[in-house]
Amino acid sequence: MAYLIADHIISPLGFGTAENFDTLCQGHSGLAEHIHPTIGPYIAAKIDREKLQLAFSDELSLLGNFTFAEQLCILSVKQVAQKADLDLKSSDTLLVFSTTKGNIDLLHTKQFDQSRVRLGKMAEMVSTYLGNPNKPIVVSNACISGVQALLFSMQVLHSKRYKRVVVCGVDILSDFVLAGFSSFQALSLTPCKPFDKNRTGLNIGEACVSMVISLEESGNVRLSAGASANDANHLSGPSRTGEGLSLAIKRSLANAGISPQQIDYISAHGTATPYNDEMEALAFQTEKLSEVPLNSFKGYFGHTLGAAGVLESCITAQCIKQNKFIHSLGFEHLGVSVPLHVIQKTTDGPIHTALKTASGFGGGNAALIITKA
Amino acid sequence: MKLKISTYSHISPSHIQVDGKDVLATIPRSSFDEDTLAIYKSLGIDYPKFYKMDAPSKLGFLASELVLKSLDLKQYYKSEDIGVVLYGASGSLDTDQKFQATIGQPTDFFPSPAIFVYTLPNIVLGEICIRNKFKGENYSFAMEAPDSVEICSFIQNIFEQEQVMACLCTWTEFQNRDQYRSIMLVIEKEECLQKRDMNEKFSNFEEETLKQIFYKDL
Amino acid sequence: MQELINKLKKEIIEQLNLQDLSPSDIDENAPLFVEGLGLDSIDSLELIVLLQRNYGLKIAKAEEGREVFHSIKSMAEFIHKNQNK
Repeated sequence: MAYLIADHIISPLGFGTAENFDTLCQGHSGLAEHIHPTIGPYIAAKIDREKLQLAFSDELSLLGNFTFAEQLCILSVKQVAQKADLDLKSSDTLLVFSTTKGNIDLLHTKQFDQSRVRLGKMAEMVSTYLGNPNKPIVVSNACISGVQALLFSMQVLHSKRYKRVVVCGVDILSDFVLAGFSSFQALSLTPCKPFDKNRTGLNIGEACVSMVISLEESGNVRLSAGASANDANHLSGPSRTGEGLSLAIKRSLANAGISPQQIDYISAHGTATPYNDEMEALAFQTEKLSEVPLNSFKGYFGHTLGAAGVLESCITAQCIKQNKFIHSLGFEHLGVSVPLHVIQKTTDGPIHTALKTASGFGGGNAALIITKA
Repeated sequence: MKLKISTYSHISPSHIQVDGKDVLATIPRSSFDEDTLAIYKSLGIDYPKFYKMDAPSKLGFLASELVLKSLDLKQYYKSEDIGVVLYGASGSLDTDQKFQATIGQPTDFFPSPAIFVYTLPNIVLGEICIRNKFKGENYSFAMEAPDSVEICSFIQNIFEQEQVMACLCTWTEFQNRDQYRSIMLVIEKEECLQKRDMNEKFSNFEEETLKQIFYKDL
Repeated sequence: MQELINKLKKEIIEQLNLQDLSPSDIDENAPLFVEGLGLDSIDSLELIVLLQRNYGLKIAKAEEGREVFHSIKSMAEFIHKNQNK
């Protein structure tokens, strides 16, 4: 168990958690059409570089020696540290990063030293610049990285080695990832439609999100408990039964000491690929969660990979704070084989306890319970 | 809670070891591809998926086979109680470069899905789970060098919080075909080993032991 | 046709890392997926890349490939039929 002290989001929807949440509530999406010279047109959620430059011109002018992903991390961690009144130079503060591909664009651009493609090296560049004396930790477990980085940070706090942990999730748009998902025929040519019967795949997004968590009683949201589990079935194909996700949810509920009836809202992974969404629906049914209002934020942010779990947990915390059920953008008609309560309109309503889930390549599944403090 | 290293393996260009002792000494060391194939063959297993794995996965997979060959963890634990925790510095970088080569030129742009699926550091962990049907906690971390303090503390934690009953903990680092090593530890509670009436002297799972194992022969 | 079939066998072994097989082990009439060679979904995507790169033939969706990728023979027939268009 840990308290959420402060958070900050840099995404195509805006800079800062408040701006992002307001934009979401208004129903705006960050997804737009872009062109790749070989792949052709594709839909993705891309951070507006010019706007970012304008918003952070002073800071960015000092960060010429840093890659785009590193710049985002530095900006985001500094912002969140300021909000939390956190001393980044203190040995009581640990930086935990969550990313799948980090500086992967360097393989192509050949800018900067290639050693920075190593995720640990990237993390060290950022933490050294910020003056943090501790060795940073990187969680890189495909699409469950973000949720798992939060679970790991709760563990670290529990061990009392550090007083505060900054979890920073980042992944940027790259030809590498775009080409990869394209070769998997997993990209949707239209804005993605999680859980919809006409869903055809996912869209890639980019974001950098930081959260400060601590055991000190503070703030009004806490991360209660969570768990991860492996399908032990296939590297890229989700389990046909949802067994792994179901196990992660079951354990999370048990660890938090609550029943499925106490879950008011689910922030699903919902990538909008045919198999993923079906697998999730089956797992929710197994865990008696079919009637709980649920959404996927992929219709707003696209799939931000290693940042997704941090981003979506951060937004989920906002939903709890502000008692908002947000429309699952792109959803019209249920397209999974079992009942599911997908949120079709943004409404106000009490949320005390929420469930955040994620699943990814390698067969990993993770779940996290977030509640009002 | 007292944790023990019930067995461990080590594969590098100069070593094939289990519990610190050389094994498969008859394998003449030549190249990564030939060596790993020879280790695979010597294990006497029929697992064609091995051929499809990328180099880091082959390395970690073989290290896990070396320790699990003589220790059937599923005989003692439920599959969902067995966790796998992976640490490494380079992750999938070698395979990332291979995939990048398939998309390097607009005129020669044929991204390979079979390579792309391996461009994640955690895939080796998935391979080990699929092979052994381990369904428990799965953690995948990147760090520049093995940090015994961090690793010890985290593993101790997940045992104490009953997230795992047994766990594989590995430093699997593949830089290139000449520089690689995988160290695979099986960690269990002392009480569980005692219940099995195991009288062997197992090493304690603690920082000093880890340091010795990780930094020996470096 | 037999020449094409033999070439395909070699390419498939190479592309899909079926190192434990030689071309003579593969029956060109046997199903490639599930039974037979036991290929999976990633393999089918990889076969799409193979057709595109080596033969300039495009298959847009994995499902459309089901018939084409039934066996080595059906792949060879597909290539034979479409390549000279």
